[in-house]
Amino acid sequence: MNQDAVFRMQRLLDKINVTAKEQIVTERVTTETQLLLLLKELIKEQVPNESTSNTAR
Amino acid sequence: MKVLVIQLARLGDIYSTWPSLRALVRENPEMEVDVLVRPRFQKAMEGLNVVNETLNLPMAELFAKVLDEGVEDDEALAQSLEYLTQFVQSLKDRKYDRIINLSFSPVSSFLVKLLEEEGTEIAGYTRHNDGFLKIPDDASAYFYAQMGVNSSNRFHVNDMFAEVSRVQLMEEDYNQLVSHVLPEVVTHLLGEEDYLCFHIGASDQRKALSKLKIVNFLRRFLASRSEKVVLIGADIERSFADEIYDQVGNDRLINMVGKTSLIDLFPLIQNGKMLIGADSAPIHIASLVATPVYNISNPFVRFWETGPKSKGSRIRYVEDLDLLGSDTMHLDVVGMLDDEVAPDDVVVVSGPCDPYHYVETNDSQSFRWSLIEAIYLGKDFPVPIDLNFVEAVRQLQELNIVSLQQLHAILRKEEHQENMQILGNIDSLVDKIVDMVPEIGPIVKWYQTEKLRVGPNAKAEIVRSYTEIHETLAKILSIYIGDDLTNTQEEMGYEQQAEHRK
Repeated sequence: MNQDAVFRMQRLLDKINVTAKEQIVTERVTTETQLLLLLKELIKEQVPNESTSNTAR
Repeated sequence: MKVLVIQLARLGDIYSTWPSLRALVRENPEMEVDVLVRPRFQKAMEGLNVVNETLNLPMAELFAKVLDEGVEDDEALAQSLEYLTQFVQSLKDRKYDRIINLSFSPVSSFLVKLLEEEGTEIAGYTRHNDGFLKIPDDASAYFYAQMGVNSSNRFHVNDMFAEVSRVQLMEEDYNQLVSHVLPEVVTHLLGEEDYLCFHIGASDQRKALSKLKIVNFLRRFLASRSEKVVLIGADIERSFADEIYDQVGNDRLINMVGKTSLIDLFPLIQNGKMLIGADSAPIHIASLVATPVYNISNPFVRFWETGPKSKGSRIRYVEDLDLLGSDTMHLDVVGMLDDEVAPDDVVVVSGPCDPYHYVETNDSQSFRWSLIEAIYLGKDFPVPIDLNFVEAVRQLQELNIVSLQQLHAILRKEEHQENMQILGNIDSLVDKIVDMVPEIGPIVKWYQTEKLRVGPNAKAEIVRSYTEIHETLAKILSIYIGDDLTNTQEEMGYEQQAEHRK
């Protein structure tokens, strides 16, 4: 994966984090939040140095 | 009954899942089993005929949207989410009665949560409603607590997959004919003579032998034996294999590296007398076709978790692969072929359903495994390894008693922020104890995992669950230091409570 793609994924991860946090605070964890968190984990797997630990909560 | 098995790990893990999938269908012939894998590793499902359908996690399609440069970030996210929603819905529409997650990863746990409907039976990691990890079954809790890097586990991953799938593995779940005919070009090269296969690479370079070692071994072996040797491996290992082939320069060496598909390896390995290799997919294939393996292992591989299962396999474990002489390899391999008694320092595999029998030379490791057996299998707790361990137990018990006091206080009071802070501090201190005395690790990991398994609930229920875990921990620790500490602290606690009531 090229550097631009990595930067893009990191930007998207930041966006997901903000959106998921907003959702959790205002509406608790909905199905949409769970989908966002799944997408976040899928993206994290692609980005170097992001934790993909089996034991991450 | 419709079942979805999720296996999002790599080739070796997929092959390690085969016996459990066969056992599921053998034990429940009416069961319809689908398996979800990543497209990159889908080929490892080829040849398994008990599965209804192999499904793919659509990574390429999903990331095509994420990486579309012509689309703004917000739009890319929206499109990806839409695609993911459709994919999840397509799985939900299949209405699975049971989902078995054998991936133990964050991705798989969120996916299972999204697929879960009322009444769906779940095994393996999922998520609570608040998004935190949920571990519903004891086998997965064991996996979380005791398996992986720096762990002291000694159960094989195949057996753990079977535990999570709630099946009892039998020899027939390993040894089944995979019907596939080798291409004629391969059979022509093999001829009629006996041969053995040698996988020259490994899933990680740190687990693989050096070129020099392989060349020295092959020269010696081919000079003294009549069998042919077939080099096998992936396309990426082709140039490495070509160099070995050129340097050995023997017409009984056949180079098939990069020229076979995964399914070709089944008949190729099955018809060979044995397989030589480090940790990699061919080892797992050999386990599925009952071909004995000479497995070279080092500290970068936990052979007890992923080693060969085929009867008669032998595992040579060395601390440093550079220190393994090609003469030792030669003696080991010839000894296996001639059915000689194995050297004492080699692990012999007695069958696919049997545990490995070997003498653990590391006292600390041996002690930790005995602790695991005591906690999970009800065996006797081992004699303390040293006084440091006893001191660590004493410190842990002290913290445990303070934790119990805080839990009681939380139950009594409306405001309990300070108590929560104390519990948080105790968690950090417990980690420090393990850092100083790793031998206490299995107990701490068990207790931390059990606490993690307590899901969102009313305060009283959470405190009750936590209290039960801490009380069980107190009982375990008292095996080593007696009940004095608990009794004294309990009395103190009652005195304090009496004082409070005044």
